[in-house]
Amino acid sequence: MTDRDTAFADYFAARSDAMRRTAYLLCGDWHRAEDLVQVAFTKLYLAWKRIAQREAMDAYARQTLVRTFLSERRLGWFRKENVAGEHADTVLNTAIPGHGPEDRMVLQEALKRVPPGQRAVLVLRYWEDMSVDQTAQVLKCSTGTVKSQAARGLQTLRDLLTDQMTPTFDRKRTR
Amino acid sequence: MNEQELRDGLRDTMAASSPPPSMNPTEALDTAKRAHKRRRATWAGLGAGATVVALAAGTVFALTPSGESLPIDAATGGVPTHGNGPVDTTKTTWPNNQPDRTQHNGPQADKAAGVLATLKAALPDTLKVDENLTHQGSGNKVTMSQAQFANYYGPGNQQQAWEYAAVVSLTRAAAPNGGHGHVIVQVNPPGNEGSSSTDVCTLASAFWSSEGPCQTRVVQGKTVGVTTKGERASLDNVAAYRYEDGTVVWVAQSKDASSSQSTGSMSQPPLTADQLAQLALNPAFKVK
Repeated sequence: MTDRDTAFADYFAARSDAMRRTAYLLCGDWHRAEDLVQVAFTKLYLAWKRIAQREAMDAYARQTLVRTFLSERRLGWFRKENVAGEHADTVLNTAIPGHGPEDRMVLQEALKRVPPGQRAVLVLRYWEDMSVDQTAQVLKCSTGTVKSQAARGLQTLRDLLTDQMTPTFDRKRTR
Repeated sequence: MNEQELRDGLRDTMAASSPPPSMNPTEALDTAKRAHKRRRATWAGLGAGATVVALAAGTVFALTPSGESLPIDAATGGVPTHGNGPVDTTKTTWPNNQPDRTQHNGPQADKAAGVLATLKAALPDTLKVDENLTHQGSGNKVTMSQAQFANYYGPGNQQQAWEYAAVVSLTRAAAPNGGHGHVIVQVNPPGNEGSSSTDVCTLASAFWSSEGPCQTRVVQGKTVGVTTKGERASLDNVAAYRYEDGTVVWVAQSKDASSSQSTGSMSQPPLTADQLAQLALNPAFKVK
């Protein structure tokens, strides 16, 4: 095994779980999330010599993950392949801490129904805790677009949650 | 649902999720190496193809003396790159090789722990801190502290701005079974982009999108902004005070437990608005 292979395997072991969680929030399916992570890390491996710093690797992998997700959504590939996406994971995830099982399931379901572009902004801004500027860099768009997409995404979520079932959905800071 | 509520919702959701076992690094490496071999083979093929295309283009150029550009990229079929160019290494990155904003161990985490200790010590005897109440699913304790990197600032963006937060779960000392509330303190030292306003009501209202009406109160000759609960707000009150050097201290409270455990909520917020404002002025919160 070459030095690059060893470093890649170590890096994958350290970061793939976190990347997979982000991918899961984007696509709503653990199996598809793993595919996205594999694609992102494969591209990282191909670009390994150009990326020397650990921070740059994180940024590159995250950027590739999100763009791959959006690209596949645009191509319609995901819709065709996601035959199990609506079932296993949501059935398992029925216990939202702090607010009962139905609230958690509703949030996941609602997020999956937010348009992919808005969803990507929401995940980067509020899961990855990225700034508006950083989000704009990852998505290759203006900061104004990020702000408007975030606002629309939040509004879409509010509408979906109101329509579905949680009149008292009221999250608290728990970090 | 506001921004903070979504942020918390996502974290709680993932904390209690049931992911499959971790992916295998060896399999990931094998897949990556196979892709590497394919790409090398593709580039070799493209190199041969490019020679043919160049010859063809030269021929066509000879037939189009006007010099109009020709769609060579389309002719080659293109290489699927998914838009991944070289990485911009000028982006903000987490300091100290952190994987995210939060420092779990180290000097910044210690400062956050200091804010928590100060908060506990400053609470009136009528309240009792519950150290054991946890968030269902994640198992994280409600009473906690957190240091988060905020941004770089100063000449050459060399200085780090952090924010320090502490949360305490509370019961009434006289009625420990009468439900839980919680109090939050957040301290933003100078340089933090999230606290650049000099207006204490703007600062108070911005804290977790409090959205409620705000009034200023003069306590000990100092002006503190205090909000009351807005329609969508999860907090009953937020008090904000800004020091002359730019340090901002927020103290917020809720009569709700911030936990799914069946402890119930307090009938009233833990502190009065005046007590909250006084707490915001506690100089021990001014982290350096």
